[in-house]
Amino acid sequence: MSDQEKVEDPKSQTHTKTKKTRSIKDYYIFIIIGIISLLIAIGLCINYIRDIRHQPFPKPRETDLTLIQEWMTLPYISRTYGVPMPVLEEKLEFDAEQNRNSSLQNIAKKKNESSDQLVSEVQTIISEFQLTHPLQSDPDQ
Amino acid sequence: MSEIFNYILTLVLLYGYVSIVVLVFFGSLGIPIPITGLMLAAGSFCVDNTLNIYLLIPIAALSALAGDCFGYMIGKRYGLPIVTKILRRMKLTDVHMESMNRNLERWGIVYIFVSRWLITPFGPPLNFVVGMNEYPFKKFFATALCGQFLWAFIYVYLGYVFGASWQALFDYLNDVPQFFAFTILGVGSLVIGWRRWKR
Repeated sequence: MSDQEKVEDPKSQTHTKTKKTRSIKDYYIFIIIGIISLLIAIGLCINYIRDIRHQPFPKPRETDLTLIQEWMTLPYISRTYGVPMPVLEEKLEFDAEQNRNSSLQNIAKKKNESSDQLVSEVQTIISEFQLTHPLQSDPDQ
Repeated sequence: MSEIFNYILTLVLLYGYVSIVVLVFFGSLGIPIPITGLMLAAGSFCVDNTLNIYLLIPIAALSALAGDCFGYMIGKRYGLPIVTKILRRMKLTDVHMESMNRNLERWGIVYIFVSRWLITPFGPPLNFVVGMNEYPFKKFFATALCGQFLWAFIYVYLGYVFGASWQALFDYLNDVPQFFAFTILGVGSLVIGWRRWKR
């Protein structure tokens, strides 16, 4: 087939057009993915800046009572906040030693209370104890 | 924090290093476990001697490395047949695969290292991809080892420094890897799309 015939050949023109159409479609897909990803990144950045403005940066080694969460166990709370286990046991009126391996959430279920209620009780017990037995400062700080 | 994450934290308090090994291993395989947040929490548990920081860092790093190697082996063993079918549907040829191989040969160390500690969402899929491309295992192992130790050190130490305040710090840091991941995905896609348009 001569060069002129090849140029005029409708089958080769159709094949070239199909290849071009496919690359244009690929181009659109990558551009769309790129734009969506960058929009998500910008959204994350805006949220992050907004959060920083409303939330102070955490202080190292703060033992704020509001940090007590339902996933914590009583031995962990005892160590972190410097409250002996017998004190927690007595005030909670609960066999803490038998339930050393239970989270506050599980203990609340056994006591037929909500997790928030139990967390609040524990916070009250700790704050009362710390009034008479202040937590010793960390020698590393 | 989610219920699942709360449950994970209780497990770590109860079962210590064993739970760290299991969770970090599966997290590195790609199962959606928030292992970076877990490292912050575990670091804070070192303050009251629930865990020991000098044991925790190597255990976490080696568990993550084990997950990375497992992901690499899965990619090497099963990756190519699965991906070949997908690539054919996307009309990508051997030329594109060769281009990916050359890119990995040139920049593989950077991709592997950075995805261990900074752009962590890319870590598990990258393990699969490098395994599938038969990237040299010794290079992968050495780079991933360095990256995972850096990851474990950064987040465990931050948790140790901040103690019980780690939860607030987690809220600050949580979106950072996702931000980097989406930025790189976005810029990379635009570059690829522009190159194709140029052709």
